[in-house]
Amino acid sequence: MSLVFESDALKLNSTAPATHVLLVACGEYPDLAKAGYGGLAPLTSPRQSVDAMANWFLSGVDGMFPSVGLPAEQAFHNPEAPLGSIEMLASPAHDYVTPLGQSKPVTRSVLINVREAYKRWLKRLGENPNSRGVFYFCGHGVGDGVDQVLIADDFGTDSEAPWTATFHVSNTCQASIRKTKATLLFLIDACMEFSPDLVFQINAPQALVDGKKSGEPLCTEWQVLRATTTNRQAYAQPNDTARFTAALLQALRGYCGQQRAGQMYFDVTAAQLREATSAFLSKMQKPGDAKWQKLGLSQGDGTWNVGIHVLTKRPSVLVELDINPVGFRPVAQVFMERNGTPRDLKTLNGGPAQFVVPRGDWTYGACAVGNLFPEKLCTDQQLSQAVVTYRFDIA
Amino acid sequence: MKQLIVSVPGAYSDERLLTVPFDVLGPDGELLANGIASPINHEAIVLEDNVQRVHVVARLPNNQCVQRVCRLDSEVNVVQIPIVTDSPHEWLQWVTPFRSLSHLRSQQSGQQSEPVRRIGQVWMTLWALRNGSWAAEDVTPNEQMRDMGMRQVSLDIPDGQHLLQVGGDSVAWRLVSLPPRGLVRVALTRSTTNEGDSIDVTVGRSHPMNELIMSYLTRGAAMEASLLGDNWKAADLMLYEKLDDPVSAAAGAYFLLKLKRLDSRRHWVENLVNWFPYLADSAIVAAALALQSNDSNEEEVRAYLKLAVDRGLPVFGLGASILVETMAAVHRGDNESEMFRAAYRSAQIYNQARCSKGAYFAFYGRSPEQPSWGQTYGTPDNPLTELADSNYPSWQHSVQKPQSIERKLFGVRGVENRLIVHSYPVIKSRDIAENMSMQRQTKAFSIFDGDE
Repeated sequence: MSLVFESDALKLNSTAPATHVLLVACGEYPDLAKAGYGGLAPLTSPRQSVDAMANWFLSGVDGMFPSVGLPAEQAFHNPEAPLGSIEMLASPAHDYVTPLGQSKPVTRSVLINVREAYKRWLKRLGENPNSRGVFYFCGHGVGDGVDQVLIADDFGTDSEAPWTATFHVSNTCQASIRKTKATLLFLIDACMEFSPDLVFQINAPQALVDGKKSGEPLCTEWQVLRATTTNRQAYAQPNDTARFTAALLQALRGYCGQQRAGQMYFDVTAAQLREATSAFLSKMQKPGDAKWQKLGLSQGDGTWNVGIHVLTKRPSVLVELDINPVGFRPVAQVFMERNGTPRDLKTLNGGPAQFVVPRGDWTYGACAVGNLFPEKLCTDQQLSQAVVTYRFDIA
Repeated sequence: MKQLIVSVPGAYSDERLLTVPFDVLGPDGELLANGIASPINHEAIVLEDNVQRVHVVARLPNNQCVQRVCRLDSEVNVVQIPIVTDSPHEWLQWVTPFRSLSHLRSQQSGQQSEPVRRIGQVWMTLWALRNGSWAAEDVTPNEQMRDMGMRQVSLDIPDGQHLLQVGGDSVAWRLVSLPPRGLVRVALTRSTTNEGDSIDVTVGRSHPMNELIMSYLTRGAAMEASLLGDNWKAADLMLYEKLDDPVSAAAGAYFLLKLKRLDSRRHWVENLVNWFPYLADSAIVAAALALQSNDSNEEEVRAYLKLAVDRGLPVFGLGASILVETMAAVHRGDNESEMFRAAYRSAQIYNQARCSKGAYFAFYGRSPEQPSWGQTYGTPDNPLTELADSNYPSWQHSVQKPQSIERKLFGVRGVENRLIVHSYPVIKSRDIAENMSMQRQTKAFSIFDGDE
């Protein structure tokens, strides 16, 4: 068992509401060639990505205790469901070093290990409806046109039956929502590209846990957030965090949240997270890019208004300003201002200018050195989304 | 205390499309109140006396935000959420909650500095399901509106299943499910971008009721869908079956199903299934509901599924995915019958070919029985199929490309991009596909002639 974190509170009371996290990364795939997929190189981004996810969860007040953790806009925080446990399976399976500098052994993400870890995760979540479960996967995935199948690291080890080292996402979700009352969030950073090899398998990939797909679900709030849409791929730079995971983490770092009535708490719900992640994912790419990636269709039940993470200050907004035509950039400046704060001016020499500001009522504009063009203004704009881009047209 | 009256300008007849959930935010973005407004329903918000200035921010079904600032100078203050101001014509106002039309407005007024994109030839063919077979019909619009870069046709859709196929030189051929029993508006408007399709297609009923909820729900905006549902009295949504409006009733049923509020209304679902025998959606909801029951009987689920696939395609896109999920849940693996396997595979292929996050089911394809994840362009008699290698690259392509990008791609080898000639519930022959091609050519209706 590669439990990289278990809270003291959970050790005293295993049924207390908590957030339980299961992180899985598959990158090495040493037996792909045996299964006839030798042209595929190992993936380097899953291990980077899973470490980044673990770091975000563990850098907060719960993970760093008794040291002071990072604030909620930089790391996990949820007073209603504090961090209870994190189990990590990965390949390569070298030790994970926590933000506190502790080295933790990590189990290799072969299917049998993933299955066992998943059962333990569900057991920890138990029947407490106030608990939250986060399942994260980064690695190879395929689609059958509708459903997604994820590939464990031992794919091909049994060259006669390579597809036995895979698991079915939707069926896993369906079985899970009938085993726990906790709110569940599945974060899947993998391709969904159509695979005829998958479709023509006699033995279809199974769920990670046995169980019925019928009967009344115990869990009423669950969602799958997928890195990509049906029949599409997910991308990553080598040796870097995968694109979807990077967008997700940026969204979690203070860019989304729904204010509780009369309180300075901002619940990061699955719905909020989805929207902000989508915005950052879009922001990372250039229009017309052949490798364009956008979030998959939503899947799940409920209103998705349960806080997975909770901010204690107003969420930020990433504002990107530019002018058109871009030939004016060398003489142009863009700015943001609001009542009581001085104008923040930036040049456009390096391309569009970025500002990070708290949500609220802002005015932004563009002006020129030597008044080469009249000042352009957008006044009294309520900035409430994670990313706002605006281009001033200089007629 | 101060009062803020929030409304939405627009035609009363479009009230159910121009209804929006909104937040009232203070200067620091603090949430002061929320509500629902429409051209008919003017929501009154009560605010503290010390609030001087607020923003009213509405979230549209297309995920865009519309906002308006309001100074609270008097006891009663009024603000309008400007949804329809983008529209270049009154007849296109109903489109504005679903897509921005501001680019058409600036093109119309000559304010756009960039060159306008060429639309090319665009055509449409209407398909109807008659006695289990799809047949092309004459397109006879009740009304046509037009301006540069924009068209609208109104079609009177009777009972039964209908698909509208739209294609063109720069428009990937797609088929959209049309809601039965009334006038349906189809707007074709020049796209905002220079990439992809040259036009956007928006479909809506002339007398819409609950389908706006589906637009939010299909996009994953469950909160907004829930707010609308509560405002429109979720418990009453199903009552539209009694108003002889099965489309609204089905929308209500999907909404209640997704929010787990349908269990106590099983008999309504049964009525919906029985009273509208051409509607696949009701049988899909009934199957999914039966599956969620603790005393679920697999035979009952399978009977509803059979009914659904026998009836044809769903009106709503959400129905296509729920159908596949429910079929997967009762699939017997190796022991499954050939008939069920074929129907399941067909349902998967249709879902795989989906091309829109809109409320109504839409998929790419050459005909109702040829859904495809590759894309076809061109005139009705000269289909040009893009092998889709940029969108759906094969495994072989991946190794030829620079290795600077990792793709978590897995083994697509020898894939036949165009999975042709599948339909509910059986696989059709190539002869039928050719017959459909003939029908498409014969009945096609030109909507843009290629000169815009």
